[in-house]
Amino acid sequence: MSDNNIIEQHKAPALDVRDLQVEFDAQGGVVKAVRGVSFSVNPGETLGIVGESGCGKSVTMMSVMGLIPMPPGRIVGGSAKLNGRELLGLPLRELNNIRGAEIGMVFQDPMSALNPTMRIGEQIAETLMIHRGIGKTEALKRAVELLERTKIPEAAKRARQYPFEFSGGMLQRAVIAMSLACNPSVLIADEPTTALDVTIQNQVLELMREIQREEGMAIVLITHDLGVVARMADHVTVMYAGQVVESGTVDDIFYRSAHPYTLGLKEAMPSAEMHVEQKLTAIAGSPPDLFAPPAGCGYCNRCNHALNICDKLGPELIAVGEGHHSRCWLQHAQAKREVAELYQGSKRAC
Amino acid sequence: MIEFILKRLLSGVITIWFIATATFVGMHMVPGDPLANAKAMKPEIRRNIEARYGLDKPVWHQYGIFMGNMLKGDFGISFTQKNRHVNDIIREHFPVSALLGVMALVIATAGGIVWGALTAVYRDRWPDGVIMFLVVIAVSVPSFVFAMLGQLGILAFNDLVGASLLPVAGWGTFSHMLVPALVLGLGTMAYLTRLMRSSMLEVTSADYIRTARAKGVSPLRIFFKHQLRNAILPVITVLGPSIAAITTGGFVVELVFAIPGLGRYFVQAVQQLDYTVIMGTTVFYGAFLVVMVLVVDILYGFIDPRIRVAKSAA
Repeated sequence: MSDNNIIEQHKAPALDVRDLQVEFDAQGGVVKAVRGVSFSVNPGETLGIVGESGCGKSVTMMSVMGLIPMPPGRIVGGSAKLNGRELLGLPLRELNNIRGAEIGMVFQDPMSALNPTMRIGEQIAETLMIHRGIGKTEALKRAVELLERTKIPEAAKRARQYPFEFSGGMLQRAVIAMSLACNPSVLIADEPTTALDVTIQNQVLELMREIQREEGMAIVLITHDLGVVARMADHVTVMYAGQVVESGTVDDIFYRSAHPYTLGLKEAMPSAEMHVEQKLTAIAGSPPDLFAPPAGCGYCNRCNHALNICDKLGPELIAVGEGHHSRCWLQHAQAKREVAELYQGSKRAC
Repeated sequence: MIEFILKRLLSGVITIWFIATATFVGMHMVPGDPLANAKAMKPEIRRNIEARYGLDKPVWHQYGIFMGNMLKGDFGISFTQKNRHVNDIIREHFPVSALLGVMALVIATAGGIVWGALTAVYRDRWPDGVIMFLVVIAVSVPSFVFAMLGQLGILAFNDLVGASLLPVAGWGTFSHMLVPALVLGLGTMAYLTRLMRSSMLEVTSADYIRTARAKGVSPLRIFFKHQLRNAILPVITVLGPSIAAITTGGFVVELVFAIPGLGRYFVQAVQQLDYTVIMGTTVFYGAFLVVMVLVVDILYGFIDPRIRVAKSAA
């Protein structure tokens, strides 16, 4: 392999998902949970995927990992490449060589994510034994080192304990230790701090950042907490009703929001300057029924800026800036032109 | 742990005392008396016999004597069988019942776990349907029907092989035990199958199974290392009551297969109002069950670490 090649590889995204479509058979029809989602994340970078519950962010990552139950789930189309290697449709045996080794995963509720009848150390060691082919004693020793690395005090003693003897924050550290056991190139964290209180949340996020700096892995952070995204992410993908509605750098999303939904999310965030009497702003209405996705934009019923076309035809992702995309007709050249004309017209009428 | 066992033993002693008292009261409330079955006898003979067995004394006095003897471990002599001590009856016939019960329990537990796990793996496919259909039959049909079907089955089997491989009734060798134990364990096996099935299904969708899959653990290893152990927990909890079900069910099966177990004596004793034998066997069975439930509880602690710690903390 030439040096050039290595540099090329280094530049290539660690995880590249293109046009992923996932459906679920449910009573009374087919739920189109993910409708053509694309994103990619580079080594050493963090991608935040935000959106409200049910928007398909978890299903997207579960599909990439091959963790959705099939049936009733079904991956209809698209691709997911890990360091250039297609993951979708891999036979289970090969997928199992990747899961836990090249992709680590951290889950939302650490209290239930670990086997209650197995010692913490053994559960971490299991990953090593499967992927590294080392013996149990050696694996257990490494497990203790990993626990130390995730800053669990008295790691040797802790490794012999069971999950119910750990606190929530400690458990999440243990889960992180487990997901990092084989130095994966991608870490998928599905709402890793949602079940934790804020101080612990802070510690866990800090830990993830620190390990990322040392290992240079890519992180995909799924969350509905914009605060977490602002802190952790380099790039952000906003999802709504099974689609990406806006994507860009963290600054693009927060300072140059180009989709009404992103604006709505930002407004819904409580701020420190708020008065006690002040009510929290919410986005009125609810997401569309994914049994029968609307022909137009999924957000138009809740959107304050909807145009006539929004109801009839869904927009494509429109480039707003360098690497910044929005799925909104307002960003379309013609809409911008007409708005400008309207603006001028109203000025003339004055 | 020792404190836990001592506590349980104490409550067990109270339970046994309660069983003994309740049986004593209940027995004496049954109309008739142990001598009613005997041929007409002269009043003085009757008085003699009553004096010999202590039946002429007031009931509360009898209760006192009975309790005192029981504390010494002496259940007295049978009313209907000449010169037989109840202790001897238990000593001679309980091992037979126990052996049959243990075999039945092993068959029921092993079967329940295997069938239950299978139905969960093949959920909503034909093996699941077939097994669950059989389970409903096994739960709802009483054991004496299965006992007789079992005997018919033995006959058919012997005809088929052309030799008397399996004896239809009696006791002595392993081949005598096989079918009765299967019949005895059938109901419990069916019950445990259902329990195991629902428990497995619950575990299958548990978060830690998803974690294991995300770690790249193979399906086989997930099944044995992660699912089975967690799914077995509820099954173990009901093993204690299951032992009760199997031992009481044993009475019928012992009668049909002419097995010289304790159950047969128990049934006979009730029919003949043989006070001492009823009391002796009831108290003995009660004590046996109390110990068994305790054993199951301790066993549970070995499988579920959460219980173990809670117990040592108690």
